[in-house]
Amino acid sequence: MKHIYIILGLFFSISVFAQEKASINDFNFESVTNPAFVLLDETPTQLHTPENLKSLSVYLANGFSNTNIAVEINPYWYIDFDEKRTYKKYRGFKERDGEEYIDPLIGLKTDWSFSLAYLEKEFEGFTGEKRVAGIGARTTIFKFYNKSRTKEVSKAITKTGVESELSTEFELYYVLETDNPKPGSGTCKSYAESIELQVQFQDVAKLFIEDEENTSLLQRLNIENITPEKLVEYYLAERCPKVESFVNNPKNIKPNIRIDGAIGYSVLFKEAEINASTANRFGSWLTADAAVRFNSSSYLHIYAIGKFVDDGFNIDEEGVYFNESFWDYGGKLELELNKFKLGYEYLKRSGDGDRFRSVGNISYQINEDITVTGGFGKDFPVDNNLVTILGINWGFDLGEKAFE
Amino acid sequence: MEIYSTKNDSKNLVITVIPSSDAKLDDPNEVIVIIHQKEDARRRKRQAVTINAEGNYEAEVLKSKLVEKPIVKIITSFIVDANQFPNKDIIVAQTEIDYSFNGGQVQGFETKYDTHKDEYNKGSDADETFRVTKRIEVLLT
Repeated sequence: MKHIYIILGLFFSISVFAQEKASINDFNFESVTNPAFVLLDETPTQLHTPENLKSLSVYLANGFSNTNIAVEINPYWYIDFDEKRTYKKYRGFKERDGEEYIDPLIGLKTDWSFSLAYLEKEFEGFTGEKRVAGIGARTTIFKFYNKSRTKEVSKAITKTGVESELSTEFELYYVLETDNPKPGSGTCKSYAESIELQVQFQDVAKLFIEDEENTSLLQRLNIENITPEKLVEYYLAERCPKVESFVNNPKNIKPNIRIDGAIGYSVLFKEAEINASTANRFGSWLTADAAVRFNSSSYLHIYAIGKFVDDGFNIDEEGVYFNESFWDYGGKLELELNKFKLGYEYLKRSGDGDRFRSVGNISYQINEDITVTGGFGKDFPVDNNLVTILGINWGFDLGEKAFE
Repeated sequence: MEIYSTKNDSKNLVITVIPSSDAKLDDPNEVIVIIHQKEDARRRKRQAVTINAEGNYEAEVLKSKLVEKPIVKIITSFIVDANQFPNKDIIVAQTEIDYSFNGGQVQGFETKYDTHKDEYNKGSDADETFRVTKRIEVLLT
């Protein structure tokens, strides 16, 4: 057994080393969510999404003074459209000849986001940390749902709550007796371990059972002797899968075709002052995803990507800054079977020297925090490199700091 | 608490609720209307809520019932999806509800985040749900 631990330890050490040397698993064919951070090779642990413009200005003022800004703004949320908002409108539902369809251009209205980053960072080849700032924008340009998928989305977002008489009446009672909203997935996940939640729900269940107005219901359902604990269990057993189904409907029912675009620009201050001369990095991305579905959780994705980068964050041995620019274009086939993904991608890089990337990868999501990933192939080899990686990607909530 | 004054006659009080939100109304009973006593909120009577031709929620209350239970409490429940969840706070702040009370003369009320923050319950950070609660006292003259 001891040997197994040693081998596993060595294996993961090698994996971490390999991940630092090659980026075989990090080429993002899906939409570029925050181009400002992508250009700075950063993944902030927490993005600030201001509640309003006043909160944004306070955040930016603080951020500029301590060199730590990671903010994303979706203008849709701040614009008063002067019309009644509904979830269906947000999703782009419209009617034509009495039939529902989803506006394929709704993303241009709802999915715009701007990202802004400002931090100190040490880049490869540089000595010491440099101040860098980045700004980017992204949107979904086009997303097409065919008739059957439109119907599925419509079904998934209509009548999404509990249906049984007992759950309906208990939920109503809970909403009236407390000032709390109905339970969401957080409550569903925590209930079994949280004494506080158990007490909160079971106290209401006790009142519900003892309330004379509910006696006839309990008698009719032949459950006069139901305990508060069982009543809450019954309710959550019905409520929680329905919450899960509605909440995840955009992920479970994907558009047939989706095209995303992103653009970003970042500056590196050559000296440790904002008014110093700068080096610049520019990037733009266009990604397309055609999703062929086999069942509710299995898809074959056909991705295509075009990416242009003009990178001025380079310095030679004599300390002279220089630019490199390149185009990446190619595609990826990915089979998504619930939590298991199997893919192959090929990318051609043209510009300062023609290179390619040919990689097969595999991943399995163990839970929300841990995904095991593996890859095999060639990653833009300068020499004829061959990279094999098996490792673990994981993520934890590490607190309030925007950048590590 | 806001007050709606109306004549104590034989007409019914018609309450119309018009929610505006990017979040989904969390059914069933996404809009609940009850009347309750001033001194004891648990002495309450639930009112039937229907959806009218314009797609808004409507409840009709007998004015005679408002003598004993003059407080109208309207609860509207919402839920956001996984894509919206990172912006839940902003969606809560953008959620507005208009209320129309018609007991012979029409008076409008509203819930807006800037001016009625205490009427919103954002719920837990881990939950996708939130609710808005409006209380209006009916004064029969």
